[in-house]
Amino acid sequence: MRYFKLIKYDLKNGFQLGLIKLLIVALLAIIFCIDFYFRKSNVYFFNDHTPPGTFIDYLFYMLAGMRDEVSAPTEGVKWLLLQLFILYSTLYYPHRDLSSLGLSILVRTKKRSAWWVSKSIWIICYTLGNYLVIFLTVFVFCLVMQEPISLNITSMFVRDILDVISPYDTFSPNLVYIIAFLPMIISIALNLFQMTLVLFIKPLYSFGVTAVIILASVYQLHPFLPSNYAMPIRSEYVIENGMQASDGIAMAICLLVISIIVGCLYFRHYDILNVD
Amino acid sequence: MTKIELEGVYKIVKGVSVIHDISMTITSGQVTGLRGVNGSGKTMLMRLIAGLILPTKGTIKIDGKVLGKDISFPESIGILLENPAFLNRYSGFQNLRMLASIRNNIGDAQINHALHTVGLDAISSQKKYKKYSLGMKQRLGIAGAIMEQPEIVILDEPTNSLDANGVEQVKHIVRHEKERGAVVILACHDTDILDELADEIHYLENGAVIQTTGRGHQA
Repeated sequence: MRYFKLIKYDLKNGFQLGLIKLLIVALLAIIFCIDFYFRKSNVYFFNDHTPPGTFIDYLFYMLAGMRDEVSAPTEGVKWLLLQLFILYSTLYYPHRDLSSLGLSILVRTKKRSAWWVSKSIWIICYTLGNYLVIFLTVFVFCLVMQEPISLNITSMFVRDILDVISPYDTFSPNLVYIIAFLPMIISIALNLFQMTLVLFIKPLYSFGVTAVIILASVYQLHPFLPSNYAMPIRSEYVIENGMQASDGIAMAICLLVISIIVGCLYFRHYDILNVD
Repeated sequence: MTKIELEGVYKIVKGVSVIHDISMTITSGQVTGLRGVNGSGKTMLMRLIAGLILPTKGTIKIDGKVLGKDISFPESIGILLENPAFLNRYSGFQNLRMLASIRNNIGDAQINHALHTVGLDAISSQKKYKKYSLGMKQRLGIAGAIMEQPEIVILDEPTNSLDANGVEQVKHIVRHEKERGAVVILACHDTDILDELADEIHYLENGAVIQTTGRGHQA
């Protein structure tokens, strides 16, 4: 019973503290939607009419990531900005809770492992919340701009706007799942990894280390760099010899489980001193 | 009857020995005072007893159960450590209710009683925590520590930021907690308060107990 109350406390308190950050994510999503809307107007300026962008086209544009051969440093900035912001938004709550009411709550809960699991659940829910905000924002934007709410990927946008040379004329429906779920799952795993790292090093350093892993993924197409899987543009369904979704899911689950277990075991003997 | 036993407790933090070979036994209905200059190890010792940090060497037993091995935290404990911290956007009452909801063994009446005991009236207990003065925050911290009538009460500098009236209320609370049979561990810079309230006073220096005075001890 205490365990559920702890989860309830974390969800309520963590989401209330993170509300402004969720609004910032919504604002970023709006900016990226507007950017896509005008980019396709510019690209197809000489066409009789600008082709409509579907719900999934907008999401793909936002969460696509960077091509494996980066031509300009600004390429994929949207993806990087979102990933880093979501990572940063979960950085401080678990740590700072121990210098607030959370300390008294931890003592009352009696179990350190329960505290860790509760914070892990919060991280998962809050990261899901961030993606839900993105999806809702895109959905509302499409409604307002009278763009089709559909999951059909428009191939020419991938070629003309995302600038990808793909061997496929039409894309597999599996790509929709990759766009919708893989960036989210990898984000959750990296956020949990970051939370575990905070037990060993200062929060800002933990953010730095995780950010370096994300940045390294941008410049190195390697199966052991998790963020490669969070870039649908590098998927096997878009490019030849692309990242395999099954590997990405397996890596995310491994990272997630290892982070929770290592954190849980370490936190059982972790010294709760003054939080700076 | 609650019994806390420390046996050869050492604590090393980042290579520095902050608690050095402390052994003591504390039982119910007793006020144990901790005295020492800043950095002498009072707060560390309290954190050790609360289960927030674990000894590098030695054991701490609460009613025979080893902290960090058999139990993570004492079964029934109320703590006020240095600066109390609550959630700014809630009132004092709401903060305490949130805390109480975890154990769920007291209702609103007991929370209000605790608030009244520390001198926070109905109006001030409904104010948002961020609007509290330092003294009010301290009073709320004490209320949070005692409201569930825990078997162990740890108060670290409870008179900080309090006026004369508040100090008298703290004295009354400590006496009451002792009478109802709680283990009270009190650290206070004010030597008069410790002399007046504590049954036993441990003097700490560089993390070690250098002297113990009180019942059964010679100064």
